[in-house]
Amino acid sequence: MNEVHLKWIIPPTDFEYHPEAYNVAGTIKGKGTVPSLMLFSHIDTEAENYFGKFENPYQSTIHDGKIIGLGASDDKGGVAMMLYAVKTLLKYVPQLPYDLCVMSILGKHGGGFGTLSALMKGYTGENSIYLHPAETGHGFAEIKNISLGVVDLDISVKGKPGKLHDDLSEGVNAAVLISYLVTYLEKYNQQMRDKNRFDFGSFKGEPSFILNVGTIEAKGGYGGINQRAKCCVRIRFYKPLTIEGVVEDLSKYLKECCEKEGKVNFADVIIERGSFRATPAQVETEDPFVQLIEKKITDVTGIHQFIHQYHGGSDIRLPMLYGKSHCVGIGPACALPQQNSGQMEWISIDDYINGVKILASILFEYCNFDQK
Amino acid sequence: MIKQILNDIDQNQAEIIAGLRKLIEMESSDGKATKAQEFVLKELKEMGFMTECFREDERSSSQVDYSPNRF
Repeated sequence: MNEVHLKWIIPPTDFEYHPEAYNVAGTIKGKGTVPSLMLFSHIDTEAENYFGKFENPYQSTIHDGKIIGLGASDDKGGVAMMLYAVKTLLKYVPQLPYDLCVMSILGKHGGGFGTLSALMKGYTGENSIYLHPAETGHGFAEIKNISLGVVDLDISVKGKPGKLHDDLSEGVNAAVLISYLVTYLEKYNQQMRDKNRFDFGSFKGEPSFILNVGTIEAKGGYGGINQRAKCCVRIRFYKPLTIEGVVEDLSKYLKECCEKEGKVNFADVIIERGSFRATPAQVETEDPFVQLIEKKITDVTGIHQFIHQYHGGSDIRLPMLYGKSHCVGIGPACALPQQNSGQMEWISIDDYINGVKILASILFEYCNFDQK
Repeated sequence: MIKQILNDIDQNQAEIIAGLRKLIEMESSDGKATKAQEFVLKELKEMGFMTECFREDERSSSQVDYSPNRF
């Protein structure tokens, strides 16, 4: 890797929590005859004006079988399901055979301030459930068991000023150079998508690599020669690829393209770390804990066909990577504004109640859980 | 017993729905989650949980979640 071109800068500070915001973790010591269990979901919501559609974001309404309001599904619904499922179970089974940990965490920044902090403090469970709606809209038919790796990169390129501000005879416009780099990135994406495919599960045969150019930035106005232009890239990938390996490989590919095409001097290309990176993780669909969850979902909802879904940098990766936990994400039918044409966030009341039932059933059945 | 548990949930639907609505009405966007967390904390304590509130700004996933050789 070329150290000159690949600069890992200090952690980004693009998001800050309110000074008084905090995580909550609660533990109950059980008899210890069954593996420990952890439940978690995040209490914080998107920003009030994130989607610009809430007239009064802190008002909840009920309409057409839905609870509507900011955080209804993402993810206060998950927090409420945990509380009411646990509360109901403890009425009937006051002395649990397993240690139970329940966490209401801060969810932003890829779980870094919440789930990861909690794990580093020692909170975990041999099995764990992340209560969060399926962003895909699949509801309880979706078992989130794969977290793709993620790496965000800021790729910029330097131009060269002309004698005058719009002199193109000597100047080199970075906006033009970045357009070449974006073309290379698209080719790289296609090449990697052809090469990297899921060889298991619901998405067998489909690409397990996604490179997205989210932003292209140059500020030369109409007539100026840009001396620097940048694009923001998010790459999602699966094993055996690693963050470091992906970055090295991409850097090498861009270097080769630049040298071969002769349009961009690779010495003028800077690859910097963006805001998020995550290591991939997965729990097998045959895992007894996954099987238990599916059985209880079937019992409550009648769903038999499950989609074993991947997500990019899901919080489920953190208990798996740092807590040695078998972790699965489940959640109710809902709509998030980004999947609902910017309209209101809602959660289905029936599915929310079903969620409490599913979770309570899992917690109850888990009293006799055998990991083998 | 599972039937009793599920029946209990059905009987308490109004409270369960009201609980989520209450959480929604507690401001917690833009990283503020204090009021809603107070509610969660109170509920957990009432259920007999040992609780802890914590915040660690020095650790972000960008710093820690980067271990290609570790796992």
